[in-house]
Order: sequence, then structure tokens, then C-alpha cells
Amino acid sequence: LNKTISILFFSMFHSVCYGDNVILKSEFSIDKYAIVRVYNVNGTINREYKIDSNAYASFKAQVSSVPIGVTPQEWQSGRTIVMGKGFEVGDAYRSKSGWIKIKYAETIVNGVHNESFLYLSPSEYSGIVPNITVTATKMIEINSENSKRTAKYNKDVTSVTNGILVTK
Amino acid sequence: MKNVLYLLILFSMTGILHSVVAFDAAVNSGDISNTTSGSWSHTVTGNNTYIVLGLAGWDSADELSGVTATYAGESLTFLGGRTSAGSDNSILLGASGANTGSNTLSYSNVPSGYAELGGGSVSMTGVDQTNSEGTLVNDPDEGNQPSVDIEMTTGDLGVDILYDGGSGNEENFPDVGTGGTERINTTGPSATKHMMMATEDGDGTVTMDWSEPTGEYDVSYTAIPILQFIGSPESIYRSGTFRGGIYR
Repeated sequence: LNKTISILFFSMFHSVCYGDNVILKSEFSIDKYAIVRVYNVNGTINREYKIDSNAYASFKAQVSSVPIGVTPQEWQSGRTIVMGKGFEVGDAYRSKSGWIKIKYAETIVNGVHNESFLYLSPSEYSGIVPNITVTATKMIEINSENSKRTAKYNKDVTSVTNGILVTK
Repeated sequence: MKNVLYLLILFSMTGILHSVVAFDAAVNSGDISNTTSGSWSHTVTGNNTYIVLGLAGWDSADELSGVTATYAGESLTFLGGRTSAGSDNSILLGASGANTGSNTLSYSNVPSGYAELGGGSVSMTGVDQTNSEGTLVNDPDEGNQPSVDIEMTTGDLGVDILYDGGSGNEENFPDVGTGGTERINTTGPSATKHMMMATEDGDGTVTMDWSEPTGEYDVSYTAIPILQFIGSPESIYRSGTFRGGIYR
């Protein structure tokens, strides 16, 4: 009982006072996992789900294979795509040009996959990946609704300080 | 010797065989933003086949010049495109002799976290199998109506790839230009981002283009002619006594 109460108390305190913390790490790689997306005949998404790197590698190794969880008809009709993903939540990558990409949220709810990224130019942060701090100016821009480049799912980011990203 | 004479007579009667490049099938990629690789199934039907993969998008830090692809395990050639980090990108890859039937098209080597990406695959028939592509043309201007002039002869078929970044918050698909036929329409990662492909035939200098009702543009645009099969009678009769081969 004490443990349950502690968890509940922590959860309430955590969400009210601090939001969700994402600890950044300097990491990305090719095809860490994959998302399988199946479309309906009318082009709307029927379902999306995750497969791990082993399942994805196995699928890719066989030219004529069908992904796990997909019928041959769904695959052969061209209504299914399997997509390799290089970022897990918290992964941060600095490109040669100094831009940083951070993946800070990902959900699959009712068969719909969403993920959120931050893209930071060299003038919009200080520090070395992953221990970066985003400028106040950029934080205002991130939280405005006027950003030209918007992800399809944006969870509000309240701060990025010394490698810890905090969302509401 | 008698066979050679027959072939010479047939050649004089029929002349060079022309085959028109015809659209076969198209598969939308859907929104494939933030992927490093991906696969879908594409069914090819017919003779003298060719398959094109078109990808387009935008990313703050990376570009698409390193993308590779296969169809039925066979590599596609990077035909070219408009590639620059921090700018709109559009690329085409292609291969002749695409295996018929339902096979897997795979792309890979997309930079991690590439922010906006989409496109699709288009297959054709009646394509010259040794000299399959004409000259690829990029539109160098991001801020004006996407339009390129490609050189074709009657029977060739142009194919293009457009990234439309949605200036003016336009959520409708852009309109394909006069003479073109829309083949691919992908939206993502938000409603104003579109990746489109079309085909168009014609003779001489052919303008391929798209337009937006808003008249505001944030685009990358690339097109290439796919060349018709032009063969000798040997290509039909295949007697084994005449080895003139395929030529243009």
C-alpha cells in the first residue's frame, strides 16, 4: 500500500510540478526499429505498429517476404509500408553543419503513430550534445504556433537545460 | 543465309520498330518523414519495363544525395535531383528491366531524422532497356512556380517529382500542369506538405509543371524523360541469325 501511495504521490507531484523529463543522449543509428503502416483502400491509415530491429532486419533480408502482422493481400496491393527509424526518444544527433535533431516524444495510440522532434540551428543552443541548453528565444519560438516547420504531433517543450528536456 | 534474306526483306517492309512508353502502375509512399529506410510492394506488368522512385522533402541539416534503392533486390540508379541541406530536395532513381509481378521496392540511406519526406514509385512499359533515360532537369528556384523543359520525341514519357512545402498554408494538392497526369499525391508530415509525381508525353521541348491556387511557392522540382524502345525486326523475330541489337 505504501508503495502504491508513493507511486501515486510521485506521479501527481511529477506531473504538476515538473512535467516529463527526457534525458538526452548523443545517439542515433540506422534502423533501430521500424513502424509498419497499413493503409485502407481509400488511402486512410488502417493501423500502425512497431517492430523491433531484429524483425525488421529479417524482413529486409528476404526479398519476397511479407512484414509481420500484414496479410499477403495488404502487402502485395501496395497498401503497406515498413519504415526504418533511427531515433528513439531522447536521442540527439549533431550534424556536420552544427544543427541538432532531438526526438523527444513518441506514441502509438489506437493504431496511430506520432513522434515529435526538435531541430536546432547552431545559434539556438549552447553546450555539447547531449548536454545542451536551448536559448530562451528559441524556446519562445518552439512554443509559438507560427513555426513554419511543424511536426504532425507537437508536445509542448518547456525547457531544454544541460541535456534535460522538459515537456508539459 | 536464307534466314538473313528473310530478315532483310522484313526490315525493308517494316522499318524500325517503335514502342510507346506507357504508364503501368504507381504506389504512394505516404508520409515517410523521419525514416532512415523503408519498403513497399509494387506490381509491374508488361514488357520492356522501367521503374522510377521519386522522393522529395525538406530538412534543416541533411540532404538526399546518398539515398539508394532496390526493386526485387536489383539496384536502382540515382538519376539525379535537387539536393542541398537546409533546402527543399527532390530526387529520382530508376532502373530498366524491372521484374514483373509483385516485388518489394526498398529505399535506404536517408539521413536520420530527415524532417519531411514522401513520394512514390511509378512503373512503365515500352522503355528502351539500354538507353532508358533522357536528360534530367532540375528547377533551380524554390520560390516560383515549379516548371522545367525536357526534351522528348513522340513515344517518350516524362516523369517528375515535386516537393511542395505549403507556402500560404495551402492544404490542397497542387494542380498538375497542362498535358500532365498526376500519379502520386502524398501528404506529410503536416497537411500543407505535399510530394507529387506526374507523367507527361509530347514531342520536342515539353514543359512539365505544377501550380498552386495561392500562387505562393516553396518547392523543389525535378523531371526526366524516359525513352521509348526502338528496336530492329530482330527484336521481334529473334531468328538468331541477325545480331543487330537495339539502337536509337
